Amino acid sequence: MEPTRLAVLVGRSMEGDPEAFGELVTVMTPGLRQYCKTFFSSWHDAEDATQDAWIRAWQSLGSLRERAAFKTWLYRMARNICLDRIRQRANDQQTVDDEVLEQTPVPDRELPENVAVQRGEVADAWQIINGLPSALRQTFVLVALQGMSYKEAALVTNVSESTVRGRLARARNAISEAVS
Amino acid sequence: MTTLPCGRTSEDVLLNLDEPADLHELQCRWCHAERQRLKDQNGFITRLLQTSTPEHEPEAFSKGILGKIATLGPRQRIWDVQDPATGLPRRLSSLELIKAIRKAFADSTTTQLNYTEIKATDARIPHLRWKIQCHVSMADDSTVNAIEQQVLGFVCDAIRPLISWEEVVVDLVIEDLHGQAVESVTLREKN
Repeated sequence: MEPTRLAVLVGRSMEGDPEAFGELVTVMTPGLRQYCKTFFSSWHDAEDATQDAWIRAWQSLGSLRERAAFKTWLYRMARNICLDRIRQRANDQQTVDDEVLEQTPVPDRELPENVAVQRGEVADAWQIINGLPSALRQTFVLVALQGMSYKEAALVTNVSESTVRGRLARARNAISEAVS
Repeated sequence: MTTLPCGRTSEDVLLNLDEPADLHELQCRWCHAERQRLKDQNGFITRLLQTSTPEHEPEAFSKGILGKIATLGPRQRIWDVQDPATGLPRRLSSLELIKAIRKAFADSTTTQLNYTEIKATDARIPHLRWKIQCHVSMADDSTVNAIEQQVLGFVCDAIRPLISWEEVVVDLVIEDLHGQAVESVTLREKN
């Protein structure tokens, strides 16, 4: 979406216009859902979190100070929702403690070596992404799929830009190894 | 991490994959080939993920979200105002006032209204003093001086049929393409 169009839609949404907010939801939901998926093993959980993020966004739009920062504000909110949900589920399969994530090496052996990525097989591509530690997954999806700058991705994930750069490099390396 | 014959590693190339190649990379066939390999492999996966997501019906899902949001009701302030036609008090939402202001801006060829906010500045009921923030983008060939009276006119014309007022203050904020404020001016109109 063009920045000018986004600025207008965010402005109208902040004014309380549900139609403008609806357009934001329609345009931005696929990307937000993809990002939420980086926290969960199931799409169902990702969709629940996506829905909660939009509801919370609608309710707290008044607290948004910079309309230009709407996307990072929304994604940060989604991230917090995902982390809260996972913390509530002690038995969740994926560890998302930030410190643990930071120290988790790219698990070469855990990457599905036997995943033969064939063209058109999207599910296999997701399998590769799911083989990455959560922090790398998040960074890859934000930058490579959602087109965020390193600065924006750093704001969403609450780390420095250099950490984003490092995580993205590790994610890309792991993806290349899985593909080759 | 592979070490290339030139001494650099795959990681060196990966860390700068989104940046233009530096002087060494431009002259080094090993780095050049490594950059291409990494871009091709990552690009392949990225394209797959961008083109499709499993189990996804975007329209139905978005509609479901909007349905839930609709049940939450509007998030807008209700104001006690004086009806200019009858002089009687009535209640009006911010959104009704904002819609009228937006309508006034709709045909403008020099300004685009990005965001507006209206609030009463007096404690009286009904309110008679109002402050309106107008965040606008303006055409390249326009100037703040040229649009300020126009904006004040749009706002006053828009709210005049809806509310009585003694004073209207318009905080006009000029924004760039990304919604960042570049200039602001306060305008005032008394009745």
